Amino acid sequence: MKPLSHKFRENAGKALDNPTLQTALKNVPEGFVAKRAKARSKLPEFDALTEQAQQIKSHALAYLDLYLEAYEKQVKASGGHVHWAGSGTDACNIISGICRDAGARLVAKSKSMVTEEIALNAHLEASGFEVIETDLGEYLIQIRGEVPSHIIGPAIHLTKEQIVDDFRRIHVDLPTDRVLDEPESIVNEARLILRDKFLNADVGITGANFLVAETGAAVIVTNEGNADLVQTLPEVHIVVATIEKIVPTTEDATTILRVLARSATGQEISTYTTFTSGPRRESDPDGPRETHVILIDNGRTELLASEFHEVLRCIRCGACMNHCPVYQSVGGHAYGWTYPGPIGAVLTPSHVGIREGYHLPHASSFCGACEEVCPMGIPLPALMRRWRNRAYGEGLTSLRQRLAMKTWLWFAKRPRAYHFATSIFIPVFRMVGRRERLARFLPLPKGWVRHRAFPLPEGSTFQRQWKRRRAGEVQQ
Amino acid sequence: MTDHPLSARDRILGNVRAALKATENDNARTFMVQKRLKLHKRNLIPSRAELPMESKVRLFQTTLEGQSASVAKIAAADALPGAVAQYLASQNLEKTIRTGDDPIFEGLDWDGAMITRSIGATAGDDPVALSMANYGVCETGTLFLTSGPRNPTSLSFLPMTHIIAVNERDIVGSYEEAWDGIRLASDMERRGASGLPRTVNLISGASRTGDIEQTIILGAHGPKNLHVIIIGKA
Ligand code: SF4
Repeated sequence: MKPLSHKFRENAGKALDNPTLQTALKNVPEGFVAKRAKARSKLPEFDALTEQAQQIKSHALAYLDLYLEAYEKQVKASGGHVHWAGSGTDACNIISGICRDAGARLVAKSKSMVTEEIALNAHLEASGFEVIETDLGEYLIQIRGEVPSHIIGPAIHLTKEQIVDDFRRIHVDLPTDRVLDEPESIVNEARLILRDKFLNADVGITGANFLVAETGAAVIVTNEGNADLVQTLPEVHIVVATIEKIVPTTEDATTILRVLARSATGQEISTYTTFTSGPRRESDPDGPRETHVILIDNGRTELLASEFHEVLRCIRCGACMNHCPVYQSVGGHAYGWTYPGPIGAVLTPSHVGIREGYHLPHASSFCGACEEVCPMGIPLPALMRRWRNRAYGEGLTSLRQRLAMKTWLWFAKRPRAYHFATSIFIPVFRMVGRRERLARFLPLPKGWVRHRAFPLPEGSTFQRQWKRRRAGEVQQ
Repeated sequence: MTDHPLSARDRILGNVRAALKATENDNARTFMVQKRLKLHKRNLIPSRAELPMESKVRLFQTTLEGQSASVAKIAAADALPGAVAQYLASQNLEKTIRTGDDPIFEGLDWDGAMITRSIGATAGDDPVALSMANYGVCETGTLFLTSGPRNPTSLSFLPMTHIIAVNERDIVGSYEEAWDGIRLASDMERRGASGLPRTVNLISGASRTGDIEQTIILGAHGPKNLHVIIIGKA
């Protein structure tokens, strides 16, 4: 996917001024956030489980080479093939090769963020295959020619009315006077259209939430059941996964599953969780005859060696974006690459470079909500700060910002000059903004006050008040 | 493909080791990993999974009902055809079902309940399927089903209505207990991963989607109706 992260400011501005998007985004705090809080409060062990989940992932990453080898061995033992791909391009080529060998025409997919990351659909279509997304949200954005705006709710930016319009535009074979106004009728129509695709697909492609080294199983979680149809019906099944998806044992996967759905949708468990390994066994009446796993690096080993390695614990639950005030205001598309929200702000610069992704780690108020809700204990704000430092070190920060920082530094080192300057600035600032008690105008950071107001200063500086208080205390 | 797959493998594993500052034949590391895989120790199990049998069954039932499934209880397997017929009638469905070849279904009087039963996988034209679960887990109202001739996987996903029967004695507290049972049944100790069934499905309700404005709608791609029948000990 071609990154558009350099346009973050522009696109965030457009998003804020887009009333349809703003209506759709209201569902994020009302849905995901409230449901997660409820699920967490229903399970007294939730926090303890997140701690164990973190330990499991940290352990798996510390022995990643050995667990990958163990996993590969088990997949082969169950009759599956394993392929290794250093880059996204390599992965795409391997996958189209498998499709070609299978004589495939139609490829059915279930939701997989890594296939978005490596732009698999575009590659397969360019290679002559028809690709159909089967997760309802993914299908909706596929027919609109869009990319996901959320890692677990790809079409969260759409309203019902937009979806109805798209269905009427795309499903031209259906009667034009059909009733299509409620979510239920929309889902039924999608079921009807996609059922046919499931039954006729030659190859099924899924991602994986986890790869279990102990058994060679790929674990997939859905609510719709589409991933199960994708990995049961076609003759060939391909699992596409990055190397950090490895966990040691079934028990370890089980522990992480206990926090995954609760953090993501607020369900206690997703409707369907599937552990699968290898092709259909000799006596099996159904299932694919050929299975492949593509293990992709695409920057993971670099991350592992870097100061950002903790991000590899991520289980893509989406909690950080659900709770992020920036995401809640601008949605996912403004971020301009596969992963939006706080996790995107950390991942994107490592994939597209800090020059392209510059704005993302800067688009944070450091409120800390993301770190607080992250079940994998990833210090997202600290990692964003590391990107900011790098950007500064590489001289990417704008002249204005650098000047501002230099000025600040100059004052910080000269307390007298600082006190003198604030003693002049504060009364003037109060005078200008008095009427509203909030400043809607600031001399330098104009953008800051476009969508919020800055509280007026209290009339005296902290240091002065402190001095006065100390003096008072002494007198008593 | 520009790279030989083998070289990509070696390069990735080499990069992982370099990032971890590890060497290839480090016995201590290998031992650590082998041990963890062999022992597959349990982690923390929520206390709600540790209940007396009767409460377990109750929790299993109420949790499933909260996840848009319906639940019925029968005293013994021979009441199964009647219970299935009753459910189908309540849903205005035809009395035709598709099942796997689980021996528990064999000796039952389907004709007596006016049910036409066919056996095998489904190609999508069977409106109702009946499966037998290996385990029911009360922790989250989850059914464990393993693939094979007794339980074709397609039966769990293609029909609009899915009925799952589970023996009361197979209702356990935690997922971990179900996993132990599956390991034992597939003789994993001796046969390794190759003894495992291709698929283990954990099913915890009817198919659903929240993709349209986060409104939950049932029957997205899989079954819209999930009915669970608990078979008592008698
Ligand atoms: S960073 Fe944490 S909260 Fe965000 S998606 Fe990953 S695991 Fe979930």
